Amino acid sequence: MSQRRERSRAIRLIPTAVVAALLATVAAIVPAEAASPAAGQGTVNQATTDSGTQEQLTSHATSGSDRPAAQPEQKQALASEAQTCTAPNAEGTAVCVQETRPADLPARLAHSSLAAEAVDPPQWCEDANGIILGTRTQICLVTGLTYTTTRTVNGTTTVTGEADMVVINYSYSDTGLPTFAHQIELSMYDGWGDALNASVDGQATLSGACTLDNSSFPAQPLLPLNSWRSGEAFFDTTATAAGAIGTCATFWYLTFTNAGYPAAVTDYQLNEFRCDNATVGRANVGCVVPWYASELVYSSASYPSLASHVQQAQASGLPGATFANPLTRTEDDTIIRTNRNLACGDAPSITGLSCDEYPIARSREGLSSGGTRRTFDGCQMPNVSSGTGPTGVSVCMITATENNAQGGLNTQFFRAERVLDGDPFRVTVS
Amino acid sequence: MDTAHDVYIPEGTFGVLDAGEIPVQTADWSNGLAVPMIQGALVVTGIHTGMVRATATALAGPPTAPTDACWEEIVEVSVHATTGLLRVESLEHGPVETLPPLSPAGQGWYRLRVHARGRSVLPDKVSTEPVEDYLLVTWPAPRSGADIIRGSDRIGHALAHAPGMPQPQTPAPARSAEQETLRRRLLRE
Repeated sequence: MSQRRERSRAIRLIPTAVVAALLATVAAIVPAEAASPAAGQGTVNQATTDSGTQEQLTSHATSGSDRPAAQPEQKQALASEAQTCTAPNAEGTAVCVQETRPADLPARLAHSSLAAEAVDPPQWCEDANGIILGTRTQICLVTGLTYTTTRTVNGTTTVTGEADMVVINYSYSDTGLPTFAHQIELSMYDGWGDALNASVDGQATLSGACTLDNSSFPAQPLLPLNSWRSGEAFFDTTATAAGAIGTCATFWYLTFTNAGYPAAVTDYQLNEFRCDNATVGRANVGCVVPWYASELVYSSASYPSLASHVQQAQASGLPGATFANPLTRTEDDTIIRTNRNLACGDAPSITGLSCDEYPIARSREGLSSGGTRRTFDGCQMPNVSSGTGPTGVSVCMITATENNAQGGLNTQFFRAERVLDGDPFRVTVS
Repeated sequence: MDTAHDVYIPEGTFGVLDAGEIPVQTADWSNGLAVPMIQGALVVTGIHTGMVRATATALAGPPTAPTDACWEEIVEVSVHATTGLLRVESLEHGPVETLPPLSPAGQGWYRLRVHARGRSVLPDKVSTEPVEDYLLVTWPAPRSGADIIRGSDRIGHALAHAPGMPQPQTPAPARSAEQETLRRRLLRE
């Protein structure tokens, strides 16, 4: 895909300032090209992947982050980002930058940096090509950047060089810390001419409920090819008071300098974290990606009647197992009580058994949101018939101890993943 | 007698939790009332959802006064306060701030004596008004086995069916290696 050639073409110079604004959160999808399952437009079953990409699509972040998911509100990309150029300087030279979607990614993105001043992005970043992927504590976005140098003499503009780069924006947090990081790294994988001589440096900034604790991206040459130039910035949330919830957009401004050419600036923005001191039962502040539906797993080995009921309920069409159709946490006691009453209020009293409802009463998908009950053979729920479909609730008499354990499992999960009112979450059976 | 306070029950249990941790996979459910985990404990209620009343007292040693006859069920277990922050907690609303902390001696082993009354009034039902009462008493003591001080049909049924209940498992690590790497990097700054 190398494009080493002299090009002579007219470039419409935009008589604007130096800044080329590239907002990473607005970029990105060309839906028809979203071949990777992880890039699903909210409807792809994450469980079916090509065997070749299976390893890349796993995560080992929080216990509820089994695999990454696409940010659900990514806007459609423009056909291509417009190239933005500086005005020519006194010598008639100018530079242009353009965000692209790289056709090829360098192999083994995950072992990109290894510099002392960065962490390795996870392997699944390779699938974040043009779209934002995340887990409960990580965000990744991979884009391309083309930097072009030109010279204009007597009205004729000549391209004097081009550099093609991959840019990785990787941001991460911890569920028990008020600090999160925004790391940026870029690598020139192809280039020719004067563009090869450029250097890049970065400045981090923010907008929102946080402060910049520390950042570093010293000037580094783009050469040699396939070397990674990186910077890290650390932000502390200001949402630390009891009950506080806050978000913060974080930015990296990259400046490309090149002897004999004007400087060019391009910027990247991420705003996918929510920090809170509002997770009931946790005394500390933590930050998570709120749209990521963490996975709550019921072990069939330990809780067989619970797992069996959930499995049957989901197989009959009820939501909760997938990113596309997760459950939604409610912390509203009235909704929880109503959900429970409508589902299990008339359940029989059988020693050793307890009425279980799915979706769980602590979700918005219980009966207070509508629908009817269904049950299965052996559930011992009189006056309830079978049923299928995506709305309603399944009820079943299960082992009482397993139902009691479910309370602990649910709360442990909500606390560990900082699942607040309105957050999505998945329920699966192992 | 200390004042009783309402505790909201979302799913059939409340906690005597250490630093809010709920390692439920390690729970010993065998007596059906007092459920010790490797850290803290859960208490099984009669109702499934709604309110109960609880009182809590931290003693320096075992209770000396005779137990009040009004308590229908009494079970005593050993509980480990790994952090030393044992508190009565609603699993939905968090620590019951009006009840005293139950590990004033700090980290270590305590005996937890759970007294219960009313678990057979509305079993597995929703009760917006409390129909059950609990008294939780702790004191520092070396670890020893569960003690059924005053049993009931329900406790008897649980003990008889204990082998069929979820068995205590080893706890999962708090963080994966990958997350631990991220956490260390965040802590350096």
